[in-house]
Amino acid sequence: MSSSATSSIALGGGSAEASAAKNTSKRPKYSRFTQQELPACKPILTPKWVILTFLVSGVVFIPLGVICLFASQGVIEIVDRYDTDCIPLSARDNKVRYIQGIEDKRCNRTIMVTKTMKNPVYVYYQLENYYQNHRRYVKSRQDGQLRSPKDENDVKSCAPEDSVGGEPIVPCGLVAWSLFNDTYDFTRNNQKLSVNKKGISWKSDRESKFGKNVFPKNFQKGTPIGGKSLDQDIPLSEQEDLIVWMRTAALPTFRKLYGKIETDLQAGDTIKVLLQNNYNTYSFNGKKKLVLSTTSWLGGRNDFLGIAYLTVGSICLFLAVFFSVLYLVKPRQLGDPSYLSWNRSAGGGR
Amino acid sequence: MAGGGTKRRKRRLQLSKLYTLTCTKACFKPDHSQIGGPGFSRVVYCNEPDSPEIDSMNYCDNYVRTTKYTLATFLPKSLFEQFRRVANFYFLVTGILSFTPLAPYTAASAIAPLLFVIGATMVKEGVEDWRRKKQDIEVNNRKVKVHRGDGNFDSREWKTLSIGDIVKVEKNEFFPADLVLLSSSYEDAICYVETMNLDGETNLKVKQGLEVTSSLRDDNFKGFEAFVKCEDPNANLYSFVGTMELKGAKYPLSPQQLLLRDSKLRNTDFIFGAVIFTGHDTKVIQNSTGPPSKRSMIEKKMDKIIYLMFFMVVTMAFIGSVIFGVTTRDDFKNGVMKRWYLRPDSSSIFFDPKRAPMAAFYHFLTAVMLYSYFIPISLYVSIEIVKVLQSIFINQDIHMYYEEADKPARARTSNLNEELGQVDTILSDKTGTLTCNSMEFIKCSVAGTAYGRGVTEVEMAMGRRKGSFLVFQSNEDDVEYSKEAVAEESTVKGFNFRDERIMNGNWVTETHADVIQKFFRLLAVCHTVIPEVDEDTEKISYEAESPDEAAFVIAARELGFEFFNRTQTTISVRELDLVTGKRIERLYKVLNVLEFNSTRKRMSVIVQDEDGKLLLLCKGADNVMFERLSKNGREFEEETRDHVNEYADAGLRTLILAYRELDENEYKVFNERISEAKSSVSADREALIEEVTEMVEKDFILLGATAVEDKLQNGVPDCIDKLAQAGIKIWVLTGDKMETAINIGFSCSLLRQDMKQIIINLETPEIHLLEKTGEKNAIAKASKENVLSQIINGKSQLKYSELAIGCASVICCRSSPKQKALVTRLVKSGNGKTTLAIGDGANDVGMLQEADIGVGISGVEGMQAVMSSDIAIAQFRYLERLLLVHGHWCYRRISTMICYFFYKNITFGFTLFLYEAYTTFSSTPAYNDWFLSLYNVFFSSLPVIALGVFDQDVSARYCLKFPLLYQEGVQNVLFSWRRILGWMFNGFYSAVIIFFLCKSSLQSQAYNHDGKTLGREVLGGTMYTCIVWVVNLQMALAISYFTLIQHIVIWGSIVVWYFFIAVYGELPPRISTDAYRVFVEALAPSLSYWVITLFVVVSTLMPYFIYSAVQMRFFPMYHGMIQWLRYEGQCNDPEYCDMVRQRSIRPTTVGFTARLEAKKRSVRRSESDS
Repeated sequence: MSSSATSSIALGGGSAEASAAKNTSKRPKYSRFTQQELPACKPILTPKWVILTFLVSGVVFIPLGVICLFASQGVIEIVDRYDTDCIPLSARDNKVRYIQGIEDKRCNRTIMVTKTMKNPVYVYYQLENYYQNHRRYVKSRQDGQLRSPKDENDVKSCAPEDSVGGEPIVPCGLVAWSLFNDTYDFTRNNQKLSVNKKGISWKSDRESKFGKNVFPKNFQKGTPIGGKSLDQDIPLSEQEDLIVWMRTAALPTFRKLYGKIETDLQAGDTIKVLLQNNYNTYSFNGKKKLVLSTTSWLGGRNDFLGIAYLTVGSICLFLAVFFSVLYLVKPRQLGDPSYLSWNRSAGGGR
Repeated sequence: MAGGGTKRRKRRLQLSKLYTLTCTKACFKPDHSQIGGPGFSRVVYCNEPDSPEIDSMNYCDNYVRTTKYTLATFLPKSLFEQFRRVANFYFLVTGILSFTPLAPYTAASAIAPLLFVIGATMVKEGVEDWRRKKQDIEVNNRKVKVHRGDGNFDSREWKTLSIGDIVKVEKNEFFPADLVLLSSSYEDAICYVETMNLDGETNLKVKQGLEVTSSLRDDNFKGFEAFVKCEDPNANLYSFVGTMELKGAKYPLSPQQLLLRDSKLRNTDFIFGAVIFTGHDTKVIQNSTGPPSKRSMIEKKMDKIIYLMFFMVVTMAFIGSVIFGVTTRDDFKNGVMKRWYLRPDSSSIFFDPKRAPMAAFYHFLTAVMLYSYFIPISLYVSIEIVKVLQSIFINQDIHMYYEEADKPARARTSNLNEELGQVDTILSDKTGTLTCNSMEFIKCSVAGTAYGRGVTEVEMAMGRRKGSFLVFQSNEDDVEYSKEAVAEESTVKGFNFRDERIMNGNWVTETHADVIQKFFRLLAVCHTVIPEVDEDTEKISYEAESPDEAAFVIAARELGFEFFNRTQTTISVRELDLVTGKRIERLYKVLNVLEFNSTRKRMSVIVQDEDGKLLLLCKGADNVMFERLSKNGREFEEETRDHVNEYADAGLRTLILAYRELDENEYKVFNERISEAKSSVSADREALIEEVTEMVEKDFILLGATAVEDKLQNGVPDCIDKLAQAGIKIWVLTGDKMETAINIGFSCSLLRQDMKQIIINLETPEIHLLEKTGEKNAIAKASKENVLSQIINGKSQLKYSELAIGCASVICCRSSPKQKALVTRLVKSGNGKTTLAIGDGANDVGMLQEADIGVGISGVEGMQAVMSSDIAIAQFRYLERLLLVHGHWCYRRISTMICYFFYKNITFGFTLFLYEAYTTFSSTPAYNDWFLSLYNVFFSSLPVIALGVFDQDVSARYCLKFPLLYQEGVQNVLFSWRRILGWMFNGFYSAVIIFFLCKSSLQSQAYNHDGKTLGREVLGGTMYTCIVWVVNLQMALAISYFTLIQHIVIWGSIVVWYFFIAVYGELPPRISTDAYRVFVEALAPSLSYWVITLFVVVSTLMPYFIYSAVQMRFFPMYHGMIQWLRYEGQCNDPEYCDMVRQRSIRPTTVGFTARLEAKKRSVRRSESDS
């Protein structure tokens, strides 16, 4: 109804009213941001950049790979699988019955040290085909109960290892219940090698997750009995075997720290291991291994990372050369419309 | 009423006498017999508000609602809308399930994002609907005068009107409902109506009430009673059948008496009318379709991707469940436990070997929940956020701000931003959109000489572009001249004529001065315009039915033939006497007016001048006029024809002026017969009149031709040219006459003379001919509403759409709003491509709503078009920037964003699945709960939002410089299945590489120097770190536009991850659970963590890097080519750029660039011929 003022010819137009509203103008404010004109860096993958990237990656990766490989090779590792050997020949056709029996399960193993191992030598047990990462297993614990005695009755996520005769189990749940219970005693030249079991767990676990005033209660009192029992007079924060075990492994093949031998082992040493083979891995065909290993700055022995670095590094160098050749041989024609995808397929429209 | 002030002379006129054809006497037609039958059952008691029958009839009230929701329906309806989105529904289900023990993670982490997503979207919907509500309130509360029952009229709100009310509508007011015209300020109950909002036609329509009611005035309504029976509400604007019973006698009612809601009363002081249809029964509302909720193509395709993802999730979950079921069953057989540490003998249902199938089923649900990270929950909300921000950028664009009307562009719904980059066909309204609805007299050809140096928009645009081309020597000086012309600025509206040869009275010295005199005299006399003299200033203004009529009269006035008075029978003109050289007043007696209509295509008056000479003055379209010339009247025919063609090609509206002298006898015979014909009441009355007029309208003597420019809006030809270069098709749908439409086609360069035109209307019955004419340079014009509806409804639909789609440009004329909508639907369904409709009037509402995108011009007309549009701009020319720049960017941003979203979630989700394989599919998440749910929020979402808001492949300047870039959207290259699957594949292999490299590097060996081995949290933490690095660096690789913002969000996200894991790890273990101090204690001090991260990240990105290096260099997409151009600095070399552009452009067929090319071709051809 803007044009109702004059009754002259309706010629549209309608520009007169604009001036009135000047001070409340809706004109957008100019800024480089609102006009999408911010200063920007607009890199594109020019030959120079492509070749440079490959070259740099190659040059960095190959030395890194060599270093990693050296680190890994420097680690001395002795692995001894004992799950089958530690079962008497007579019991081998039913290992499960043997392991569940009550007879003495001592077993003697001999380990040859081929290269000098500098202290500390770490002692691991390795389990295979053992699913510590199974959801039922992972969830079957109650962290609050481990931290403070106030929460010892809170066992709701621990079933069926939650209580015995109405009394709550501390620590409850499948993880604690299935605690690994093989033991190793090492002797070298009839001299006992002491295994230090202090400090094998993460510090944060000892200090914050396992209470200093929480003591095992009713543990392994029910049936069936799972694994190792715990000393009722030692607080959980000092039960380092339990703490290590309770940090569940990521993969079905895993090692856990048993302890540290804090003397050097010389090349040629023969180490006798007196071993209590208690833990049942036989019902699920799991392997048990005893591992002695030193470490490097990178950790334990694993050549994969070094080899992988070397491989990728060489591929990068190769690609750098390849692309240089490609750019020389086949320079791109600028603005050639035949590169346009729709021109190629549609042949220039209907 | 009009007591004081200006005395309006026209009041005394019995206008109906002037008109020969339109104002016909009411007579019963066969249709009227149907009244009372089915479809014709409406009964209205006029002026009986208290009549008991009204209640029983239950007609709706006059309240009109255009909102989507009401207060009561908002919550359920909008929730329903939300959960109709499959992904939202899925998250609802998983959200509910997460409260059960099935959940692999905590419920809070699952439900919180969903609530946020739904809430944000609902608020947005609510705000949008509220705006519509406010508009409704404004309309429904407009005031109108309603009869109170005692002869007095009260102001009441529109919404309170009911059927049968008598209303009084005053000049320039809108009709509040559909009314039957009873009487008007004119004695013969005539009124003028502007139906712009209904059909877009700008000329005024004449309506006339019944003779029996024409004397009704304010006081007479006391006791007035009438009884109307008529058809039921329907959408047909041009038909109405009814009868009125008055004092026992029956009178027929036709469309001639019907005044439609939303049309406007013009040139008439007031009318009285009886309300027949109210509210939603009115024809205009019946014509409008409800506001649809539109979704863009990309969004629809996104749904398909989501279905695909569901399928993948379900497949993975199913595979997992089967394996899980089997291993669970094997755990406990015949009383022997296998994995005794899981206590399978005493298990809950979820892990019970005895009920393994059940456990497997529950596991399936758990797995589906766990893998929900495949489907990005934040996708919808991120897209909403991004689109809102994009809309803000559109609103803020200073280049789309129209200074004169103080109107910036406004994106009303943000749903369709990316659709703007995919438009294949533009359907444009004409009036108010392409043209500014003002006519300017710009050129004329008198006695074979062309006058007028005004320059049309198109010529200006072509002149600007001419550059190195030397085709238009003839126009060279015109262009020069135009600059001066622009400087001095025409002061008279409707007149843009510049020629010193005949202006300022100079015409007397021209060789054919007598012809010029006759020419302009004809313009001053032959019309139906009414002059209005302002008594104070003596200035004359004109009220005309159509703006071009006014333009003629104004032109005549400016050249010295001032028409200043009209009486019932005379026209007075001030003109120059050739002999004395003085200005004298001349009186012409108007004997007959044979007015214009679309079949006659001409208009004549018969006048007697002061000397008693009888003159028949006629103006009309060239095809009807040339054949009516007498032998001796063809003196200038050749030249005039040339000029007319030239004008027509420039898109000017041409009329041929001619006259003849009648002798007394001939006139006498004619007059008798015409009065006889006029008074006849038979059905073939019109044919009779036609026949009589044929008799005299012949043997003309040619005077010349006029050219009126239907003024295009600023920059329209430029814009159309750019759009055409971008490969967008442009259709024009108009309610106007075919001739007008074709003219505009020419002036917009949509049509050229050398194109083949196909005109489809009822008069050309060879519709089957269509089959053959699929040529590229063909133009189809569907004309006449009947044909159109036949085409749309009938079998020929397919053929028509095939033909039309094959044509270079299509113009549909005389289309009603509904038909515009139908044509739009036809195009939409015909080729399945995106359509954009642009219009400014209420008659475009249907079209705007039907099209994939509706763009409203917020011009001078009402707000209806804007209110139902998706995006409002102030001028047609802004469409160029809206589509080529914002459309392209938004399309690119959204499609890249969606691809990237799925990529990053697959990368993340698939590592979860791979890890599952190492847990016998027991659904242990590889990561901490909050790592899981915050992945989409903190560590990967901001870069992707920044991509969606800020990314530019090429800057705005290059978007406009290389319009073909737009084809990336039309061809949908950036969101093709190939590209989507490519990105998904990228996600899968990234996940595989990350998982296996991490797993192989982190085997059972000691993890650090201290001999500690790794737990779940270390593997999870390392993998997660790699993923965060990879997806963010992938982003950096994929974009080629880094502002500070990009740097901040990309590097920031990575930093935030380290920050988060460190801080979260410091929280008490009750909250942080297994992530407690994992970073500070385990990850960070261990060198292998860093070495592995570096290696995994670089190796994972390597394949993509190789791919993109090869693609960018050897198979660049169009934007890549432009990037190279920019990079190599060759874009400042205009010739080089032009070469690149030309080589990549497909030959365009419309737009002035094409026209230049065509002209060049023809010049070359003629050169080679000679």
